[in-house]
Order: sequence, then C-alpha cells, then structure tokens
Amino acid sequence: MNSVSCKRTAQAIAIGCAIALISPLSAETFEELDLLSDASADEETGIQLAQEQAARGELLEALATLERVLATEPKAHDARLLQAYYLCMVDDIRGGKVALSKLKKKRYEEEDLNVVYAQCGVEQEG
Amino acid sequence: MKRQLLLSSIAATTLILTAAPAMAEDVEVGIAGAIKGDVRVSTQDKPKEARVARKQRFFWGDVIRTKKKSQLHILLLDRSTFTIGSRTQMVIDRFVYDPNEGRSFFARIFEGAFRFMSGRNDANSGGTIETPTGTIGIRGTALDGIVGEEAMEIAEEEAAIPEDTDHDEDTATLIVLRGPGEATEGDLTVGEIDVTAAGETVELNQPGFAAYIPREGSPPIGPFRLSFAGLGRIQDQLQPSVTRANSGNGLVKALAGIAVIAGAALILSDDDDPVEPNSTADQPSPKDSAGRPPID
Repeated sequence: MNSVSCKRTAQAIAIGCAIALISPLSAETFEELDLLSDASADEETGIQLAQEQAARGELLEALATLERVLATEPKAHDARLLQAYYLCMVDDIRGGKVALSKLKKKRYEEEDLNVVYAQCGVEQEG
Repeated sequence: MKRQLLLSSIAATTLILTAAPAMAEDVEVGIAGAIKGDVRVSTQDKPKEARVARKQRFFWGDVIRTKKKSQLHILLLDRSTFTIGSRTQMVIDRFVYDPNEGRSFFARIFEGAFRFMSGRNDANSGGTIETPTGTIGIRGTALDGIVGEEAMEIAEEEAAIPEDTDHDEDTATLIVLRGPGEATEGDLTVGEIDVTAAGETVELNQPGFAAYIPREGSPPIGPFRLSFAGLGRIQDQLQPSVTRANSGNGLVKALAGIAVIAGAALILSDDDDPVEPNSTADQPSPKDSAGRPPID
C-alpha cells in the first residue's frame, strides 16, 4: 500500500516531524506518549506512524495507533483497511476478516485490496 | 517517569502493593491517547466526576467511565493500551514498569467492553484484569473482553454455551484472545490468557478462542472459538463511532466463501475453519460430558 504523505497541512508537518522523534529504542516518557497521541489525532500522520511502527515489527503498537485514528476519524478508510491488514499480520485472521467485511470495496484500489486479501487468506473474486 | 522507574524493582513492587492506597494519586500510569464523546474520571478522594481531555494523565486508582456513544483509548507508559467502548467503567489499580524488567499491572473492569494490547518488552511483562466474575491473567497479548448484558447476549448465540446456562446480565463476562498467534509476523510474543473463576482456569492460546463466565460463582465455559458474529459485535462495542460510520453493505460480496448468519454478521472460509453457507462451522464439535466443547 502507498505511504501517506504528511505534508498537506502545517499541523501535519509539525506532527509528522514529531513522529521522527519517537525513537523505537528510547526510554518511554509521558511526553513521548503525548507525541503518539498527537500523531494519531490526524488521519494522515496517524497512518504514517502506524506504517513506521509496523515496519519496525511493532504491529500491536501499529494497531493501537490505528484505533486512536479511528476513534476520532471513524471514516478513515485507509486506516480501516490497514487495520484489517495488520490484524491478519498478527495472525488474528478471523478478526481481520471481520474488519474487512465491514469495509466498502468501492473505497479502495483493487491492488490494495488484493494485498490485504492475500495477507488474510481471502480468495479473490473471479 | 523517574518516579516510575524508581518504583519498578521487584522489591519496590512489593512495597507498592502494600502502600498503594496512600500513594495512588501520585503514580501516573498513562494518558488519554484518544477520546470520542464523553469520558469521565473520578478518584476516591474526589468522587465528583470530571470530564477527561486528550493527553490527560491517569493515575493509580482513577475510576474511568465512558458514557453513551463514547470511547477512550488509554496509552500506558510501556505503550500497552486499553481501549474501552461506550458505557464502560474501569480502574487501573496498579501499574509498574521498568524498560529493563518489564511491566505488571492490575486493573478492574466493572462493566462494558475493553481491549488490551501489550506494548514493549511483552515477553517479560504480565498483567491481571479483574471483572465481577473472574480474573484474566495475560502475557504478550491482544485480547477483547465485555462485561454485562452485551456479553450475555453474544454468549447466548454461541453454540458452545449450553442453552440452560444461568446468566447474570450485570456481570456476565466474555473474553476472547485476539493474538498474536503462532504465525504472527514481527518479533511478537505469542499471546496467552488464563481466565479463572470459581477456582477453575481456562487457557486461551489461539486467536479467536474465548471463555465465558455467566455469573459470579460459575467456572468459565471454554475454550471455544468465538463466532464471526460474536467477534463483530465486540468490535462494534469497542469502536461505536466506526460502527455508526458503516452504512450499507461492506465487502461482503468481495470476500469468498461467505455466509450470512443472524445479525447480518459474516462467516468467511479459512483453512482451519471451513465454512459452508448456512453451516455451523463456527460451532464446536459435540460437547463432552462436562459440557465443554473440545477445541476444533
């Protein structure tokens, strides 16, 4: 799936830059938690953060980030598809399929859907 | 933070356990990472509820409550998370974390739906969640739980739950392990849960496996594989805003091997759980003499 740009707004840029400060290996602080909260308050930066966490293998943290995004942006279609994808990556195949079943196909590129279908072991149409 | 670390040695943990009531308000456990709707917090010393704002700190002993159509995502210091759905009440009584030693916590859920997902150092970390009917011991885990009437209603639709089960709609507890499973990607600890009630323990060690405690004093029923419908209903409780955002048909037609069951929930085929339309593949094999279904 395509990476999401964080350059649309000044706020997104600021939050996106803050994401870079959230080191995967640094000691946890409450200020760091604030940054995580800020990043996931915006759909684009939240998805970007989730993708970065997933790339580091922090899949549960990536899922948590998407949950925060969806709490405030329930129609964040990319976040919902990514959530299904990551659920299947942590071997919660049934949970991923339930999440998938609630999406609308017309919202997504076929290529993206096929990636998620493959991860979740869903047979494709045709 | 320094205070957290100072308190995190094993010896200190023992001290914390005994000193908790007096120190409760001083020990931060996490923040409100995301909020939807109306979320309230109160303490033993300040019983009048105050509205919670995003990034607000939570402390030992805070009583957290979500109202109708509300949701809260709690970020704990080790980046573990609690998500609680609408009309949920909980307390994090104790949370101790050392990046080198791991994390332990004790939390109580009085009513409503919740999800816990482990954060870092999960291999060395544990935790206990208490509900009105039992306790959940967790390790490296993502789990969903629901306490109250909705748990009872979901359980009543599950084939693994005997029809003559005596439920308590206020305290019935349903717990399901969400992962990570053995085939997980990333360097994650495979999730496990022990659900204990009335002196009996049910171990959940595969995503989708569930245990149900129908009332106080009853042992857990399970493990059983929660149906797609049941999983969907828990998801709806945890993310009510997402549920409301859904309208019309989802990807039903795009997914192969589906069957529609009661409540318009979906069943999708997968290798370990083949499903035929209108089949009962989510239902376990015939129960044994103790009324407990064998796994798969």
